[in-house]
Amino acid sequence: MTELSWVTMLRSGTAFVVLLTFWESWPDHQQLYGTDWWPEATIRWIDGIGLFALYNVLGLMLLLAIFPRMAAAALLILHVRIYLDHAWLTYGFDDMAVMALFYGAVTPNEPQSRWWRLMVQLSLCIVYFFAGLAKALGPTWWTGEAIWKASTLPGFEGSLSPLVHQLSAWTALWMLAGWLVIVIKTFYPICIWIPRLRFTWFCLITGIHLATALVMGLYSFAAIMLVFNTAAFFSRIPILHPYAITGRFRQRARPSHFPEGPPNPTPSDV
Amino acid sequence: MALCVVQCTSLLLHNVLALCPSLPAVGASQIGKLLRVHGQYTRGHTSHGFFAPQVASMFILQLSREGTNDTSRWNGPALWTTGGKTRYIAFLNWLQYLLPDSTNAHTAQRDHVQAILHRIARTEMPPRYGMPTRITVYAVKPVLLGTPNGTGRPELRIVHNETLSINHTSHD
Repeated sequence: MTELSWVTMLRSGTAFVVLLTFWESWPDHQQLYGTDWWPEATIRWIDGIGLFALYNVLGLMLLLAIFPRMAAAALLILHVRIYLDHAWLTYGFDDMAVMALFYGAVTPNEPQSRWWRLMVQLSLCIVYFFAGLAKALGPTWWTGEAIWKASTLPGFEGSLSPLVHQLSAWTALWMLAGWLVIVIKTFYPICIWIPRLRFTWFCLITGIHLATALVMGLYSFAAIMLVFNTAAFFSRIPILHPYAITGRFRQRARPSHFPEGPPNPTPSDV
Repeated sequence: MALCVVQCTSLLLHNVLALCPSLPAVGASQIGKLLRVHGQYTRGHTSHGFFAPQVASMFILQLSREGTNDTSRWNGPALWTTGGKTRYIAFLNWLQYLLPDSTNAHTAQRDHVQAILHRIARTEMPPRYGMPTRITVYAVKPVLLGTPNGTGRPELRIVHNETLSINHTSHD
């Protein structure tokens, strides 16, 4: 195999992100989910070290592509039961992680039909379009107020937060940033399909997610969106798999009427 | 192909409904029920307004109990991780239903949030005889855009204040 397939990229990337997120937040798990705060019954059939072990085994199976579809399906159910049954503590990362696990579970290991990938691509387009439209319908993203507020809310602190707080007087900069976010997200479903614009738009949307991570501290959310975008549109770029470069050159050197290479000479030819 | 169509339709419908709440609810139809079940495990029923459509205020929950000599306070769980803090803030966002301008359509959510606040208070700082627990929710108004650096500070506004005693609850 000369290229990393998109479905492998989606599954392994999702497994990597959800495992890191799970490990990172595990010290606080009991504090948030093990209390008597919540009226709904939480996941009690497995908890503590059992839950930790099961989540890790399934995550590692998915990461290393060991029975990947079964691992994705089981991890999907476990993630929903732990995190999404508790709507109070859920945020965007959980929704996107579950969506990625669902696509990883239903897609065959070597999908023959292009509909599988199209499903992932269209989902992303819908997500971004409505995210952009919802912002455009209110006035605050146009004035820059919303992006300023999102960047400076206490509780959402990233590595660049101290720097961002010093830019409060730069109103034009924040207004421009708000417009950019609206334009990039709303026009994503169009521009990502135009070959000349695809890489540019991928870089722009990556920039938004990196900024979200560094300014608001939403590292997991940014990571899962980057996995989604890369798997949906860019898993075939050579940089992800060095051998893909040589594979591509070899393919171009072949005559087009012999896609599998020239046939071996038979005795009658000789 | 069928799954692609169903998944994308589900995503589209829920996003359109989230943007236009006045449209007749898809949930009332049989198709809507099927889509809802499907969406439970695919997040097809997620409306992507969670990408910060109009950014909500930040809220702070504080519990306090006056003793004979001092006042005990609880300002949130002692969380260590970024992920844990983000999830707790996700919970605090639900406190927006306690705002006085929250519409009647949100009565159920408001009751639900209040019930959880009571459970948190009874778990973290239970009232004692003669020493009720006060539950206070603040909305944080951030520094306005355009304020010169270092001259503004976030403001706190009380949006909910109630006292929880052993036998009953009273709103202030």
